[in-house]
Amino acid sequence: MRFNLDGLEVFFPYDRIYLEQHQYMRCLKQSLDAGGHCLLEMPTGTGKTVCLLSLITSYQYANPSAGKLIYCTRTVPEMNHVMEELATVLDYRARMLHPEEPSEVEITRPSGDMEDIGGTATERSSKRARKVYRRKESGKAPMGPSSSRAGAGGSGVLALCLSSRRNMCIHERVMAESDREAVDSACRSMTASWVIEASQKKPGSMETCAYYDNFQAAGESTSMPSGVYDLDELQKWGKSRGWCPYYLTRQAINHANILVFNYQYMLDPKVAKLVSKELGAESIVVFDEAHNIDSVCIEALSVTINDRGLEQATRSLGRLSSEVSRLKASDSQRLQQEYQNLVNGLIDQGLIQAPANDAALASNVLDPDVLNEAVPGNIRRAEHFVQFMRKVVEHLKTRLRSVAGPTGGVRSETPLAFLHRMTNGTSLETKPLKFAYSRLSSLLRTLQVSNLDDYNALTDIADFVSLLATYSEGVAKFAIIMEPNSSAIPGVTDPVIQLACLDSSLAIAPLFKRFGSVIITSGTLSPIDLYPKLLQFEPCISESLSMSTFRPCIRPLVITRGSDQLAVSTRYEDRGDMGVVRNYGAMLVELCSTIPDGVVAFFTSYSYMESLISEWDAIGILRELTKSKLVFIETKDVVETTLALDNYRRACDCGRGAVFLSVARGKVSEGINFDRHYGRAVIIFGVPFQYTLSHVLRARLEYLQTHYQIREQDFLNFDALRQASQCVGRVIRSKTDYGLMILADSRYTRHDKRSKLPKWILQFMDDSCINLSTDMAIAHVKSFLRLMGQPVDQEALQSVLLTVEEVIRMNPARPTISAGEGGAMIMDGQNSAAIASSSA
Amino acid sequence: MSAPASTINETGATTHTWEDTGGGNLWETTVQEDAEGRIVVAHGDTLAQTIRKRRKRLEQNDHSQRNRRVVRDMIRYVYVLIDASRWTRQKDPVLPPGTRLHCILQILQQFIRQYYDQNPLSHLGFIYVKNGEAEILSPLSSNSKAHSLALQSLAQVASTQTPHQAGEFSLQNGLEVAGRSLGHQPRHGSREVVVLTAALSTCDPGYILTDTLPKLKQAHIRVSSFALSAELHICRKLAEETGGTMGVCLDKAHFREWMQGQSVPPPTLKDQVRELSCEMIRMGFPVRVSSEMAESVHATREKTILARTAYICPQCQSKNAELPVDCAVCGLKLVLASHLARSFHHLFPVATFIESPLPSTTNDDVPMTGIPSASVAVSSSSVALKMDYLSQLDGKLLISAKDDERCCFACLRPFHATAAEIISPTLQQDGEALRMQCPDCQNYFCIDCDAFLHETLHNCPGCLRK
Repeated sequence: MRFNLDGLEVFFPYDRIYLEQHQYMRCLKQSLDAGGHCLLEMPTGTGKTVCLLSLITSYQYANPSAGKLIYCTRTVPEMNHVMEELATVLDYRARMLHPEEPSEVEITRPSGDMEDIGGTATERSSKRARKVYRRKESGKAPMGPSSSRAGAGGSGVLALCLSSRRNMCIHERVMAESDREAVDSACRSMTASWVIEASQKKPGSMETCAYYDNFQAAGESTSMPSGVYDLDELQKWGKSRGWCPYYLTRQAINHANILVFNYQYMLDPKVAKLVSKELGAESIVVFDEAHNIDSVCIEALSVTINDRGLEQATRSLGRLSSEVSRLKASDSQRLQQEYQNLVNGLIDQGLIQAPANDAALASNVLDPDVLNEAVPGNIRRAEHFVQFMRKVVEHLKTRLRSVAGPTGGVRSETPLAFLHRMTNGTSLETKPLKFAYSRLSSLLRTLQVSNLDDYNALTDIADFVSLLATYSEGVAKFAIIMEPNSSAIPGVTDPVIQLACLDSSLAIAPLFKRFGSVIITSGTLSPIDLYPKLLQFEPCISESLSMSTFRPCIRPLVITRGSDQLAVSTRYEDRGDMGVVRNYGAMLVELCSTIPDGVVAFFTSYSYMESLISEWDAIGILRELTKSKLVFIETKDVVETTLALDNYRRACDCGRGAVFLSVARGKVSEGINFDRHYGRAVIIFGVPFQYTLSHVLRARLEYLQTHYQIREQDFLNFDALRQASQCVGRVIRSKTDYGLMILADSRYTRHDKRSKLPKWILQFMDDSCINLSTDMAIAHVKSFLRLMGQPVDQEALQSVLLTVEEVIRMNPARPTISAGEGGAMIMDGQNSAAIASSSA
Repeated sequence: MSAPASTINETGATTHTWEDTGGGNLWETTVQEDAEGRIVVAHGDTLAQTIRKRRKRLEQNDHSQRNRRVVRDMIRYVYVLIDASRWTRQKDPVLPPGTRLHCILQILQQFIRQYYDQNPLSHLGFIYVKNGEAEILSPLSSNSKAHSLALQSLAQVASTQTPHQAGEFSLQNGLEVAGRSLGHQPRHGSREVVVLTAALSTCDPGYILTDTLPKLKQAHIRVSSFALSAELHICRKLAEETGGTMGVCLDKAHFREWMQGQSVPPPTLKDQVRELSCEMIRMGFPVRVSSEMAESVHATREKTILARTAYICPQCQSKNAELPVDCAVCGLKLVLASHLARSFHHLFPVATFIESPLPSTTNDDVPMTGIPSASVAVSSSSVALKMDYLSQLDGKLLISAKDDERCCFACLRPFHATAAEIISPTLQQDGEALRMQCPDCQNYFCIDCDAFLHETLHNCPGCLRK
């Protein structure tokens, strides 16, 4: 479909469009026009990604001056999904713009080939198929270098995705490594500049990576042809040329039109320096699935130090000092060189413009003063710096010991107080502390250390003190929390010092300042007015869209009482109550024996789940449960959980039915979908509040209260409800799918909780499905399942989809849109011509 | 376990009816509250809405797609897989009275009659599953009496057992048993399994999707499922993969309709059409003989009975008791010509009638020429009504003038339920009349005749007259 949206020609790769998709695109368009940021919430499973991509690429096409599209995702599978969608969008555009060229895919795909719309009456069998299958059947959109003359998208678009070395490397030996750090260091050991130099001097002395060498040899001529490259395609292409895909991509970033990568590349200052420094200010930044963006921001700037880390740091320092003295004996000139550089300041020293393959560390500190100043004299010499760091580590050790000691206990300090104590205790100055991180990375490079992960603990500490020193002045945006036992296991002393960032706007503020449009979107952003406060920005559009449906495919039920009319709740006072335990158990058993296939149950925490399960075991509820369903439990072990999930899916596939017990803030609650029969129902036992006694959280709440006037209870409710809606949102991924969302806690009936659920869930929640007892809920469940089991009414399904004509009608012709947009008139003319030709 | 009965009552054997929250509580199922808290009577649709809904559902569900000419299998081999596990031993509020199993058996009794009526050349068999095991209740045959008896015996056995003794449902075992038997049937027939289940999980020895499904597909066995409680994914998956249908029960009427749909032969699977383009099947047309003395006659392959009339197989001269049947001695298919004719109507279905709203009587601008003298003369008791084109006979039957638009073409009744409604149009609001139009001959029919023509007669009188 090719239509005109307020004067912009949009290439939308499907024939039909949902109303909310149209609204979504309009909001996006408005915020792009205004050059502002926006917050958009749209229900999952309505094709958010394709809207984003088709609108922004169309926008780029219409306004060549618009910058890159930077699309941030959370996980690698999501990234691949985006690339696939992107390929479809661009392929469609290419076909529309250059119809004479042979298409790269046969146009035999069914006309309404949209994830869930597809399946006209003719192919009823595949209609229910998951979108992934569908895509496979209907021929994958072309990836890789575009074969057509005009390039991908009809205008030579280059779309890339970037990930860590582990996902991109094609070197056989390196790929054999298992974890990320090992791959990184193996790669670095073959590609660092000194290794290359050494091997150039004496070929064969060092092992180098052939792909990297080829890439370097090709030099600046290594430009990538236009196309859409996902990770596989990058590897394939790299292999065919013999070039390293990782470095190739990092270089190609500069002339790519569309970039897809992880949040960290934008938010984590350490990584962001490397990647995003050359992105233009006019770029459009999209954060997808961004409901947890404030937590990501905070984590990026928080550091935790414990006993083990300090020990390791001491060892690293020992190794460093011996390295320094060895180098002094053999090659003192190099150290001298470094000293000179440090005198000149960090900028000249080349830390910032370090060769791409070396700069594995970059400062966490964004303070420009630090970068321009010369490094203070007392840490310029390598051995002095090592001494300096020793003192710091020793001081931290003493503090840690005092926390764990008999007079210790939980203590919270402002960074200034902590710093004051540190400078007193060690007789060090504040200023050099700021430079600790940069100085360390400079030293590590001088010493030609390639296995940086050995020095992780030390770099953490350097990071810690740098952050501490930099942000100690002014309003305390950080807090130092010292706890004698951080782990959940009682009785074990594991003291930690945490430098907790309290202000989530700190990490993202540079982005808002630098880029014209930052788009934050997710399926669950409610209540939407809290995000601008948390992230300290002014969105020009913030919109929560509801879902257009042809049948009530979601049924949220709020169960507040058990069958015996006793209120159920996970409130701290009630959760141990035997009546609540039994009622929850009976609820699960009854629901499991009325709901077919998969059921997912979320608990508020691991410890609560464990205690509940053991109680259930004692009173025989688990035995009852296994009569109707197999029981799988999420654990903290990732491998175990993956295995459990896998078997859970098998049990659902073969009809045995299964129930998955998991935790609302665990791995399963984010990113793993329980659509179709994998999750006919999601049950949440209790309101998933954060652990409110956590000192870090307390500090943050206090900060929010005093600086942003967000009430403690408001934030906690918001956080719990977004978690809950994340969990229940897993159940539905397309409009032909259906699912139950069961919120089992008496507190969900309260207005302050309920109103914070996303609009698209509330729209299905009428008064008859709140405040239910278990047996009433069961009756609801039964009737819902019967109704939804009926075949999908194709006519009704089509009726919620808009055709081109309807879309045009929604967009009343406005020949002059605004003054200053001279091109609008001409574009309009083109559009109407194009639409006329396409509909003819 | 001895948890309080109110929380976990798996047994379903509540002793008192008033304790039973799940089943048969008519008040709770029919009277409900709407969103504003007002009391509404559930299923409060008008008759016309109910019929419309039903027609729509039939159109969607009906894999026969009546209005299309498709290749169909005239000879079918159908196994009905009855779930007799603990899941069907419970009561269900939408399937009153008695347990689900009783309801299944009751509807199956009707189904048997209907099936043989619609498919005289086809075979039917029953399998039941309980305790995770599948057993053949009655093998494939064209003997409806044997099936009826077998179903009755199952009902008797079931009523003596507690739900605990019934155990789990196993779809795989059931399909394997059906598949083994169907695999030996001639390839020209359509092989089908109809699964009737209330189970929400199946306990299988293996993995259906990898073990059983390929075998089913290879043997061209079609699996259709009807779920009594909720859609089970595996059933839908099997139906999609093998070309069957899938239904979820709304209420008893829906169940009955769905079973009715199953008595219509499904279109031939696509790959089979190519495979078997045309094949000759030997059939015998036996001669009926009757004698003074009762003779020994083959009732089934195993059983002979004494009877005075018999049909003599033209191939081996053996005597068979009933038609249609496969000859007990030589296996030749013995039929009557009328059986063939009855099977063929599926190939030439009556087109689906289209609903066309009645022209309103209030702005009646068609000038009527006058009361047909004949109708008035028919009976002295007839009263000439205000609207002069109608006359009433015996207070019931209304005869109209040659006004095709207001009367059913088949039964000649006007489209209104009662005479009162016609006379005073204000009454029409509550009882909406439905009028159907044949797309071929453009004649109008009432809803009763519509059902009769499509389900029983299989002919449109208007089209025949042309």
